[in-house]
Amino acid sequence: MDRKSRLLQTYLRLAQDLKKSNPLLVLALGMVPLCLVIFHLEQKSIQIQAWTKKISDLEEKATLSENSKATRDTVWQSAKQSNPHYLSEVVETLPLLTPELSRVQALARQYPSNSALQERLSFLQGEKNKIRFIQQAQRSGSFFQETEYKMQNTVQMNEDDLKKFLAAVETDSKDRPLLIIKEFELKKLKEKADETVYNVQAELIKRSS
Amino acid sequence: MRAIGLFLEGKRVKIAIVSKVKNQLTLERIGEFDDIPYELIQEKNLHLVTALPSEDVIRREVTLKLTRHSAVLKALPFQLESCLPFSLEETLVHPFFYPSKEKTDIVIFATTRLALKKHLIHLQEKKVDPDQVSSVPIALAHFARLLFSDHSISWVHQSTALAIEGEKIVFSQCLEDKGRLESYLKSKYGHHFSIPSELPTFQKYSSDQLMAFAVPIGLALDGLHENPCQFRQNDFTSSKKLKRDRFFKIGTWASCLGVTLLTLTAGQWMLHRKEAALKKRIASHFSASGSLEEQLLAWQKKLHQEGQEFPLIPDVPSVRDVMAWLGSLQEPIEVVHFHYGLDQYPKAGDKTGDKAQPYQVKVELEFKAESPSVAHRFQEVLEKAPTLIDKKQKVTWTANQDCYKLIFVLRKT
Repeated sequence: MDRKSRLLQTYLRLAQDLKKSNPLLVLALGMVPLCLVIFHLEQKSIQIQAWTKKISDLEEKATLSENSKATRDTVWQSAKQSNPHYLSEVVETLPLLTPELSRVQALARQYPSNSALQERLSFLQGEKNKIRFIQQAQRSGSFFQETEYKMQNTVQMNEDDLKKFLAAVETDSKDRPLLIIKEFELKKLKEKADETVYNVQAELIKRSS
Repeated sequence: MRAIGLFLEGKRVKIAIVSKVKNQLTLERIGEFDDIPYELIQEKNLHLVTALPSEDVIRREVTLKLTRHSAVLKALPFQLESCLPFSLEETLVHPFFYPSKEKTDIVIFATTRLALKKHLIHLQEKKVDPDQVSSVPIALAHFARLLFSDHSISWVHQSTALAIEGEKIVFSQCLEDKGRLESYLKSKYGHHFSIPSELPTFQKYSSDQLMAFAVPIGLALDGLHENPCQFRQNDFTSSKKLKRDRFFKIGTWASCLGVTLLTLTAGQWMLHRKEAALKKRIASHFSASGSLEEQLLAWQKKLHQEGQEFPLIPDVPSVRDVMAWLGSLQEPIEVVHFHYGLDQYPKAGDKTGDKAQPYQVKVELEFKAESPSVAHRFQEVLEKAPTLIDKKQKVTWTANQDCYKLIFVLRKT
């Protein structure tokens, strides 16, 4: 054995002796499994925290989904029992610009030769200012039919007519089928006395069973 | 703490028992016997110290220009090899460290493995297993310090000569010729206090008694010292110490294991409770089996599938909602053109399995305002909460004289 390796051995022996007699080292080694256990528990705890957050998110989603499903079921049940001729019987029969019609009728009787008045009366009473929907596209879904309608003519309405029209199309009622406004265009035409007249064009989607 | 010094002098056995309570040393008993007094040495909590004779021990001194203890320990084996007369493998060393500011003096007492083995076999034959094996010079040094604590001392006791300065043994030699030793000490350490033949009494013990029991008393004192000399190292360690060490190690490991198991059990129990509570939360919405992670995945999948069902009802504001909102803003503007259009919407007959197209409404609004500032204020009010505008989407703004046009996308309800 050469000098170097003998010295090394002696050193190792001394170091080993020191290690043997050091109680802190024994304690430190004994703590290793405890540290590993604490690390493992910490990791698991972090995972559980992540799961808790995920569950809260999913609970929120589930509640939203349940609510929207309930609403959809209610609306769909109501839509299934609706009047199949709602558009023609309710929406298309809405009278338009009635205050102006009364005024123009009175004036036309007073001034029968006034062609402008006659013309306006004819427009107000005629088919041109009646809400008429014509069927566009029709599609079949898994459990429902979908039909798109468009107003045949642009019609003139005052603010009151507008409210009635939108209420008839968009407000829930017993007879109303599931109607969605696809396009709605409103242009201000004239303002006379207390009345403002608008040109209105609309397209609807009707969903029924 | 109590220690017993046991010294075999020819066929006679000399013992001394010393106790230390709060730094107060008491020489409890001295005695000389024909045989080993087993009833005394087997007393509980009594530290048994024996001594290697002076001729089996050599003293060396080394000075290292190091102060850090770990560095001194590393360097020491290299220094030892040159100053010891026997090989390191055969040597047992006990160092005493005397550190100062820039260096460390190390006084080494060394013996051979063979000498220690002989000593232990001799004791074993007499059924004695000492806790500590010290040496005669060190025992004498402790004894001298007990009686003359303030002096530098030189002393020849039987065939052993020693000189002490403070705590440090500066000279130790064994020679049959006592006269030569005395003259050497006189020449080299003449300035030291020389211990007289008549010793002062200590507690109830006379000078003669103390002189006769100097070695066993010194051994007991060494046993009680904070830095005792111990030649029972490594494979010579006493069975009692081995047992104690083993007990300590097993105790430490067992305690650590116990704490680990307790922590693991308590931690797992708490985590299990939390997991059970989470499973309960899932069960109130969705029933599934398997681990928590599997249940979560199944639930997530189910919700995802539900989210893909055809959205019959639009989740965007209606025309009435938009007009009511615009009416509520009460800004002095005149709306001349309003367009509400479903840019995107789910259609019946769309491929099943694909996520249905979402509803998206684009609104075009043309209005007249008295001044650009009024128009600008109207735009600000439009975008101010609560707004129906989807702010993630672009809001387009164009102006033409007193007529302004805004295009925006409605947010979901």
